[in-house]
Amino acid sequence: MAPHLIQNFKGYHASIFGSQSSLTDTLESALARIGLGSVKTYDADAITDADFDSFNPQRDVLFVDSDIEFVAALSKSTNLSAPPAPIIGLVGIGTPGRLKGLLNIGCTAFLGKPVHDAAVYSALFLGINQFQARHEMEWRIEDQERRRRGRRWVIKAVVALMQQSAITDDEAYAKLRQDSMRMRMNLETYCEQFVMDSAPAPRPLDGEQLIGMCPATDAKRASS
Amino acid sequence: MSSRPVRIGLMFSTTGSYSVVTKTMLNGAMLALSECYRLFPDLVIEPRIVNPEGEIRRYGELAEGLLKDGVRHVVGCYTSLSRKEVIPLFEKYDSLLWYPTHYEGFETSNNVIYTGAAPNQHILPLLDYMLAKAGKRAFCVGSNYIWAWENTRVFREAITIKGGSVLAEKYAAIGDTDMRQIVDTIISERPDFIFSNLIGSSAYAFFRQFRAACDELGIDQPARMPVASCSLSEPELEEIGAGCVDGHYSSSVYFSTVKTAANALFTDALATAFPGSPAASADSEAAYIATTLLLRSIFHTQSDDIKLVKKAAVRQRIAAPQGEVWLDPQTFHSWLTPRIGRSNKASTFDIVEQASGPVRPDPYLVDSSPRYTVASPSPQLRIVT
Repeated sequence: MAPHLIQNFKGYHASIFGSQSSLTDTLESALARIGLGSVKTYDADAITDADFDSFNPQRDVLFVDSDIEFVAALSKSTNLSAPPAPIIGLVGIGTPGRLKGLLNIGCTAFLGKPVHDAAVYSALFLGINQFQARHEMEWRIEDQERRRRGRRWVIKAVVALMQQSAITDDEAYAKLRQDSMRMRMNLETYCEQFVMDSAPAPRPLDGEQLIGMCPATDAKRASS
Repeated sequence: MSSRPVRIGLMFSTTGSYSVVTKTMLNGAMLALSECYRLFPDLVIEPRIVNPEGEIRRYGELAEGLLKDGVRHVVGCYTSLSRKEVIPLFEKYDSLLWYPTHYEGFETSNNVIYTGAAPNQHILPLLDYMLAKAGKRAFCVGSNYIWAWENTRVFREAITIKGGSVLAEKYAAIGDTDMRQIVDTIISERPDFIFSNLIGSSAYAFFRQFRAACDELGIDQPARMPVASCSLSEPELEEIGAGCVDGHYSSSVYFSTVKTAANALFTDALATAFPGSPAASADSEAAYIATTLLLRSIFHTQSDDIKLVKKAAVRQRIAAPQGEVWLDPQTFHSWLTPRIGRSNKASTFDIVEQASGPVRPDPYLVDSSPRYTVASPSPQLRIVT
């Protein structure tokens, strides 16, 4: 399901990393019209004052001037793969080097300089929603990875249930799936629990300490 | 005051598909000019009137012509399409467009003053009224351009939040007058009301054909499926014609039937100055307000410099025909008084509801919309075990 789009930016806080007063003045007044609660400006010398850990992706949005050395400073201050909040680039000199810098810090929209009032809402809408969509995608990938890692438990649970109940693999899978839904658990977690519950209690061999991630394997090893 | 004439532009399509409305806008602007001549006899204004004839290309050409000639202020445009077309020119020449009509919002520009209603001053009051009086199932129709698209989106989100629904959305090309298919679909869907964003000749054709189709089927259209819109005005009622003019709802900050002393003077003055012209309307009033604000600001600053004029404009409070009006210094939109009118057979509106006073403009619906976009309700899910 597509995430809901954010359309009303009331209460968001903007941090502007830029030092031209003509730029920051226009941006500040345009953002106030759109309902942003507060705007803080950092000039080139004050970038270290910014507390990047305090930025909240649900509440903050950053505007970064690509023409000054903000991008490099931000790169050092933030984890490139996870920008602290949505970042909107302020682009004057649109050369590949400058644009690559914005890309590297996770910029999801841009405003050309000089900033036009009418473009600010569009940039906010695209920048913040693209950031959210990217987060959503990262979460999905992480979830898929977790499920992929859990498939081994599904295979083990299907085999165990086939043996326990003398049923086919399709029947075993269908039953596990149905039971997991009834328990309101995802299939992989349910199967892991099923396998662990089905396995006989591990009995250490003489002088052997059992170390293992999978009780079923460990149990098999113990019984062999 | 210097006797050097101050040139201002008046750009209205007094011919073309929506000229019924825009003629009255020019009348409103001209009335403000004649009042200014009387009040400020030393102020020499040279109006430059241009007619883009409803052609989008002509808006750009004519606006640029005025701006190149040194005109710093233009009152004009009706459709959002034309406004969007000329705004870059006003930014390029650092001049001011005084935009005198209601619109869909989601815009501010340092080079535009908005004297018509923003969406929180027209769509949202209309929705509340129709939900209370007509029902929760709406059918949306509109002319196929930004005004209808955005208004319908705002309407759809707001009605969904309030537990209502949009049965369907249908769009017709600007100027299209064959409404048979839309009318047939509405009659088969039987909504509680129709939210119309049709403009000009398409709107008039729709009102006529919808009423005729309902009459043929013995349906009391105004009672069973009333049409509500944010742009229907008195001159348009005259255009729709007898027999199908009554029972339509309109949300507007001004109706010719508003009971204020300023409105009595306004309607009399319009009728005297422009005999035979259509009645006063929200658009003529908005053009009157825009031109009045502009001329007073020029008088107070003794200049047409746009920064000075803007500063002076936000200090003005006008006893307008609709009531007191002033500009919001942050958005340069106007504080206006929302009202709901129901059309009658005399081609005027009976005011059935009105706000207690001027309402702050909220062009981005910052204070009147949810943070997230609202999806239409999903089908009910059934848990299968």
